[in-house]
Amino acid sequence: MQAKKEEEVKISIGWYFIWFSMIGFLVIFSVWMIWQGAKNEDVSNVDSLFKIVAGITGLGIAVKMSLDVIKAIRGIKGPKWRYRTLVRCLNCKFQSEREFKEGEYVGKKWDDPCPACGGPMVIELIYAKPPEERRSLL
Amino acid sequence: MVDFSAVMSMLAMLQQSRDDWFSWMVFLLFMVIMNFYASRLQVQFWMGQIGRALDQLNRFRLEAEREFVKTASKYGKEKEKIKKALDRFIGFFTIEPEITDPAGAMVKLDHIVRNREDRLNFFIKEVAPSSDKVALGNLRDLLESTIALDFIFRIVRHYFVLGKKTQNMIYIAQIQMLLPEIMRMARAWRMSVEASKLGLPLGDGIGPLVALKMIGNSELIDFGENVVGTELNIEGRRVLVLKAKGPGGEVGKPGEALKRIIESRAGNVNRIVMIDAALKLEGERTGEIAEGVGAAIGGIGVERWKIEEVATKYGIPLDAIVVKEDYAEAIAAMTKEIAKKANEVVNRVKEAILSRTSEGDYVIVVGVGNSAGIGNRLEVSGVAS
Repeated sequence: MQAKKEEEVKISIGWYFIWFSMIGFLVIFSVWMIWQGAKNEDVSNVDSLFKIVAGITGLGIAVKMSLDVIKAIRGIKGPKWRYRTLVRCLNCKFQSEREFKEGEYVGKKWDDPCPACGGPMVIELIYAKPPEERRSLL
Repeated sequence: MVDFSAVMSMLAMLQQSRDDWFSWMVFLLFMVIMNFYASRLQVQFWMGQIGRALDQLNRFRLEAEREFVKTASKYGKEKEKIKKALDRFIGFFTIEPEITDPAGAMVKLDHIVRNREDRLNFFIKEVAPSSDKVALGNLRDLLESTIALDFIFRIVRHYFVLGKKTQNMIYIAQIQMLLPEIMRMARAWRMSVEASKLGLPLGDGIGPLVALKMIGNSELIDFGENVVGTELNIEGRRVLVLKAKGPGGEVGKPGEALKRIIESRAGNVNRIVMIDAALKLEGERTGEIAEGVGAAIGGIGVERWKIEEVATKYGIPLDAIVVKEDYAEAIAAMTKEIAKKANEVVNRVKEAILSRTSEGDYVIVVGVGNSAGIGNRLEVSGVAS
């Protein structure tokens, strides 16, 4: 397998259309099957039961496919981590957290004085925050 | 309208009419086909999985290359020229020295490691001529992540193509079974690309972070080998705190620096305390602090060897304090749960010094790890360390 070129690795609109059409068709077909099975009002009938089970299975497959699509899109875009800078006043221990900006590093003097006491402030910590509350990084 | 009665009656027929020869023929044919082709179907299924993973790995490496070119182009060269230079350099490798004759193996390894570092620095200077020391360190980290992602892609592709060519189940099974771990590593390297691009502290930087907190705003001494430090007085003990020179991506050579310092004091050092990030076992908490003995320093082993040699020569006890994290957390940007442990580790180091040494003793504390995004001292005056 040859390594693909950069422009080839993006998901095209066509693929999105195919995926969502398939999921849509599956949902409509499954709901129709369930309705066909349920309208008989006799669940002991094998044919009705089979249709209801098939419809529910179809809905399950549609949910799974949707999750796979979301996962694939997320996999391409990557999780969005936020990087935070914690600044601390050296006099009154006032702390403030803000968005990290390129060029900042731990120990660097903060340009603005402490809003509480006017004392000098330094960058205490810089850390990454996961997209959602998760214990593990990956 | 779909009528399933035919299917149901066929199933019933298969169940009930055991002597129906047609049903038996279909069943036997199915069994024969599965007997011969089940493994092939399994292989095809695995190949599909590997193919999808390979696509993702290809995206990761292209992303990393793009980020490297974009970042390096800020320092005086056009993107096209950097891209061409990177394409030539991306397959960069290091051949480990021959150790069939183990005498002098570490010296040879040290030489090769320095050689490698020089080449990487030279390449960075070539593609980013106006980069300063900080940018150079961060670009070197970014380049290493790009090379790592490219290497992972090449390895997976190798087994994929080999499996396709030979249709050998063993080749394919090997890579398919390792795939979750490979992808986890690749995702970690991908996050490392972002951290290096922005100059963020890495999970591995907990050692230098602790050292910085101990140093405070004290005057720094440059010990060479990209190691800086300062001497503190902790309840009558003279404590020399060392860390790699920041805030660019730099690990320095703490082993070499430590060796020089101890030799210059003719071995008159009472204790060495090393702080580093350590790989946690699954189930252990990220940020868990553990204490032990020995030289807490990772890497290829050269620096550990130097520290062990000099400590053994003068009989200096080695204490180790580690912060547990997994591989991904160590190479990606430092998370809050790791960063918040720095103050606790500082207290542990002080406790270790006070309980295991006496007044007048000389102690060396080494914060081991990558100093990316971590300065050398607090840049404010008039604040006690």
